Amino acid sequence: MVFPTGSEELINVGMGQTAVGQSPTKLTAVLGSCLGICLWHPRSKRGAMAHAVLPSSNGKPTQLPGKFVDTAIRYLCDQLALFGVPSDELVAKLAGGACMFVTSGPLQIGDCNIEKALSCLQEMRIPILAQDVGGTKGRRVTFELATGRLLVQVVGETLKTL
Amino acid sequence: METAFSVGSHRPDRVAIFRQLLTSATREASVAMSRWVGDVIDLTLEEVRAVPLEEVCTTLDLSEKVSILVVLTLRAPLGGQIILHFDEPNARALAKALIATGEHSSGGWSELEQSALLETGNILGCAYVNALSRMIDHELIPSAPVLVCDFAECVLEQALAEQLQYSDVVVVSRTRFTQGERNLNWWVLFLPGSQLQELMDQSLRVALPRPR
Repeated sequence: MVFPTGSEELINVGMGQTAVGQSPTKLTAVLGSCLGICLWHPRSKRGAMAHAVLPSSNGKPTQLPGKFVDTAIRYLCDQLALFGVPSDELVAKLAGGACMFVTSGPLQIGDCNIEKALSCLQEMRIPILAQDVGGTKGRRVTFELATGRLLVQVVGETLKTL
Repeated sequence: METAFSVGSHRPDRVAIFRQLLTSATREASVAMSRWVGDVIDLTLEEVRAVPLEEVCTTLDLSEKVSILVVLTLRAPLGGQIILHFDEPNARALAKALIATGEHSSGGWSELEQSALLETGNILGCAYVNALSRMIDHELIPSAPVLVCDFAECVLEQALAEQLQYSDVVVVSRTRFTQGERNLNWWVLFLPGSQLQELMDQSLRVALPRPR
């Protein structure tokens, strides 16, 4: 877990990592098949990002809650709750889950990550305001906690704002 | 019966065994590459490491710029990836040298340039895989090569997903290229799948005298 110092700061959230922060901090990640899960609380302008690699922990305990989509979402909510943010006031944005190349097995990890996030967020009743997921290209994303905007840069395309 | 160790474990001697195997495979790949480009290209195994997930990208110092990658996936269940990684100027230079027609498409990649890079990945990957197959006495079958122009980290994420199902630590090996005195900014990343790691480990371990 990465905690910012409070001033405007750009924090890189690496594979399997999570970060929480408050305006004006920005959280950034480079996403291929991994899923960037962004939770935001509009009133306090606090938010969090997870850079999840795999869909499910299958109920096993893990030292890296950000590694799995299911544990990451729960962990982000718990961390935000420590700052007094109720999970029923959170909104979500998602990016990533691409298929960068065809693999030999039937499992397409990007799709599985997306599917898991949609079901976990639905189960926790966290509305998804926007998503830019799937496809075959990587994404560099920046989550602005001041505005809740998620900026998505895909190679060779114009910057998208979610 | 002695149990070697579980999938996903990363004892230091295991990394040493991988280094020994991959050094031999790298020698054969050097010969194949030199034949293909018509000049002496040396491949040197730079590192074989077991790296915690959260440190992979910083350890490999992957460029934040767009990279050119040729990816070969080893057929399941052994699994793994061989990834030939260039920065764009080096990929352009290699393609230009190989096709020798002066053809160059500004911005995108012409079909001929793409073919040249794919074939390079194929030749290199097959030499590597053939050597490794012989050493572990098990057939490894690579996929057709795939060309990806994107952030290297994005490709790495997907390539490591299988290993990460079993462990928070991944095995990565990186090979560099030199031409004479000159370091080329080309790299081969080899990311063996979990079952392939088991096989690599066991194949060499049985060939070595047992410690008393």
